[in-house]
Amino acid sequence: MKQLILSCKKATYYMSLREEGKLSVTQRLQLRAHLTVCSLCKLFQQQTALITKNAAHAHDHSNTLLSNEKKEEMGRLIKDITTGN
Amino acid sequence: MNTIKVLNPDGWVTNYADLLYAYTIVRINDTAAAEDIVQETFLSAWKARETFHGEASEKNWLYAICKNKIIDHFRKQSSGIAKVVVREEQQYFNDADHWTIEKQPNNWTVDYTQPVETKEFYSVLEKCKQKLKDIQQAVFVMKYMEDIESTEICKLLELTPSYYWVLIHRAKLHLRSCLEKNWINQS
Repeated sequence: MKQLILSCKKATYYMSLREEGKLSVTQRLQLRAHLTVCSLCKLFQQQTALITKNAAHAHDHSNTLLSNEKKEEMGRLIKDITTGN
Repeated sequence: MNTIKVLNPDGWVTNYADLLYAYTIVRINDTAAAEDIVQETFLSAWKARETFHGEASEKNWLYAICKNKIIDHFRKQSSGIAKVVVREEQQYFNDADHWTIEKQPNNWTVDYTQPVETKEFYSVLEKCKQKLKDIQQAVFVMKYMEDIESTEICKLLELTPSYYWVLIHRAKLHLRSCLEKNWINQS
């Protein structure tokens, strides 16, 4: 019975493996059972999902621009190579 | 020579430099390296101009080259470092592997299913990501921002699967905790 009960540390570790279908049937059931009773791990799951799903769009929300000096430098470089200098 | 007609290198800096730079900087958090990657993207694109057949747009083609440079950056960065699991200085779990009071997740008053549109989220995420160890950052970006499978990431960065999963686990623990502290509790 002891090995059926997953710790929070293991449950949160299993969540990443589950994303790629890398859990055995037993592990999947253990995780599901853990999540039905553990509200903290449930929160962890929702919050990390929010982070990982939105992270890929970070550049759409970034105000960081390349400096003008750097742009001019790149422009000159491209001009040089494309005109064969 | 009709490739020259399709590609417009004269407009690359104006049209794509900021886009490619923003894409790169949120992934590698290193100004000088990000500038180099953008410049190298343009140079490689010009060198490989004969391979551009116009199936992809010029923009997507440049993005693809840039993505490869980002992965290459992580690969080079990872090749010199020791890959051993070290004890965590931060304690997320107690001796029974249950959450500690200090680090346990608290409810966020957000809709977890909706895309996040607030700028603060992304700037805090970037700062939190910077606090990760380089190798943790690399696996997080490759997995969740570049959508590469774990087996491929392990191959590229020369990691054992068990080490990879520990890195991903810890990266998530750090980022969640850091965002709760600096985004949720500050807003």
